Amino acid sequence: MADIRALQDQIIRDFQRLEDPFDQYTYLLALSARLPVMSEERRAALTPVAGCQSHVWLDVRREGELLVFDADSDTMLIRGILCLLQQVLSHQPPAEVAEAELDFPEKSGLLLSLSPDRRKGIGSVIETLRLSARQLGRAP
Amino acid sequence: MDISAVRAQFPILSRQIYGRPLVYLDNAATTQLPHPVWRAMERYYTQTHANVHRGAHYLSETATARLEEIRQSAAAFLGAESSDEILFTSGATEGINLLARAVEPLLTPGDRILVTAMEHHSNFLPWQELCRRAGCHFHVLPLTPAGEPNPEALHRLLALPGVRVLSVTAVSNVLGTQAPISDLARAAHAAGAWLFVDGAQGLRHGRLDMKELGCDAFAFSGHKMMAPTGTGALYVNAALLPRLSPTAFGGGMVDRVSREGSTYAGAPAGFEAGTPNIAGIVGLGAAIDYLTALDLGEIARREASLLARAETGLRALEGVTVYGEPKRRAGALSFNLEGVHPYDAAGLLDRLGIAVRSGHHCAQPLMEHLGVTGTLRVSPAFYNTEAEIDAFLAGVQKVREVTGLYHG
Repeated sequence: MADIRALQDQIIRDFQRLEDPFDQYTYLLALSARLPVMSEERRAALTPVAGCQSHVWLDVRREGELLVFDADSDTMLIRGILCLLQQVLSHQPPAEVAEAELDFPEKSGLLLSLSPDRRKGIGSVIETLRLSARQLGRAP
Repeated sequence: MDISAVRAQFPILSRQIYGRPLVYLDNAATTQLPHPVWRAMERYYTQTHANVHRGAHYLSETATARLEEIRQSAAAFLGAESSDEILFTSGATEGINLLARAVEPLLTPGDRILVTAMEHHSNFLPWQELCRRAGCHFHVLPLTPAGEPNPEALHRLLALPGVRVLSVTAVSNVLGTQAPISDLARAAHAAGAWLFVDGAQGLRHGRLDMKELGCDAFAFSGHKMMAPTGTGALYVNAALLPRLSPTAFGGGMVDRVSREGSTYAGAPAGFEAGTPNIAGIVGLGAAIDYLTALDLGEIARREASLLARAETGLRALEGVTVYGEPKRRAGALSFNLEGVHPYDAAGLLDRLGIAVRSGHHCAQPLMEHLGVTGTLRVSPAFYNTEAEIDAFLAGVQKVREVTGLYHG
């Protein structure tokens, strides 16, 4: 398990290597293809993340000592960002997720062209993950 | 039209976005400002700025005179009979809200208000809310599969007792459908109703003449016609105007104020409480002069040709749905790529420097009619080029390819 800082630095480096802003988005599409699609039944059983213009579903749970989550969205670009969040935050100790300073969306340039609504949406996803991390951290 | 000379007046059009030339095709959302418009505002602020209709000093008198001149040129631009019929507003949204409040005392419970299913929320919600307040019935006129107001349904609804208002957009901000305003005006009047027009998208598609159109009121926004945001006007014809009640109260709109009761000025002053957006109105005046000098007919022909080029190109691409097939389309058209969320397509196009809009375009009832949650919308203006339309089409093709590669 790599630490959250190292994983973020890797993502930032990857995006900086992709100098062309269009290629960065194409890379998000490729990441989106790696994220499994949730079934309609599973989506229906989850509460969509509030404050997102696109639909975003998060299934956060504790497996042993670690926080684990699956995520899905109706848009490919958001799914790409969710895939990155999963790489960084899933299978990490809840306490570290709760305290993590997440700067890769900003530093990778990913947030640059998102509308304020979308940025707020990504912020809501991160907040939901942090909140779940705090709750799961307290659970026996 | 010398297109390079025109483009030279709009410096923003030559900037780069993400290292690529900007292709600005979101003119239905807002248009860019040419040199003469912002120079007029600069000149106003550096030479003439003072409050209007207030002090008896040189600057105030000059500013007031300029404001009233622009009211006259707006009246001429719209073919109004008198400049008193022009009320300055912050845009079409304020204009329609003002109108809905101003006719409220003329309605009685049980009256009916009709809008169409292709209205922007700005010409839907003020009437829905008015019906809720006044106890009136709110009807939404369905569309034909081509995306036009359904004439049979209109006939049926207008035959109901107590129809007082038919409020229609001149041009759909989503489909580009041009509504047959003069026909609708005749039908509404025959039923004893007023015909109000949301003119936000209706201004750059040929010369308008309120008398010929026969509408009772027409609201528009300056920022869809090369003027700054926060400007616009509501035209109300001289017959309806004296029956309207003021909707906002304060400075500049009174006749006499006393503790016992107050009386208000007639139009236009009675509907323009507070200090207006003077510099913005100066910009609006300059935009009217600019468009008139450029030739409204020529502008309309050029925009129609660019839009037709986009439509033909999109229809030739596989997996593209173009919405609606109205008899007359102007300004904008909506489409989707099969299996691609409009947000993704717009995001990818943006990274190619191409600005289009995605989402519900503040027209959720229309999205419901189309059976989609959102669309992509392309809306050229006269300053766009054929090469930009081709770049847009190539961009759409590229988006199809890359999304196809990774599609689940």
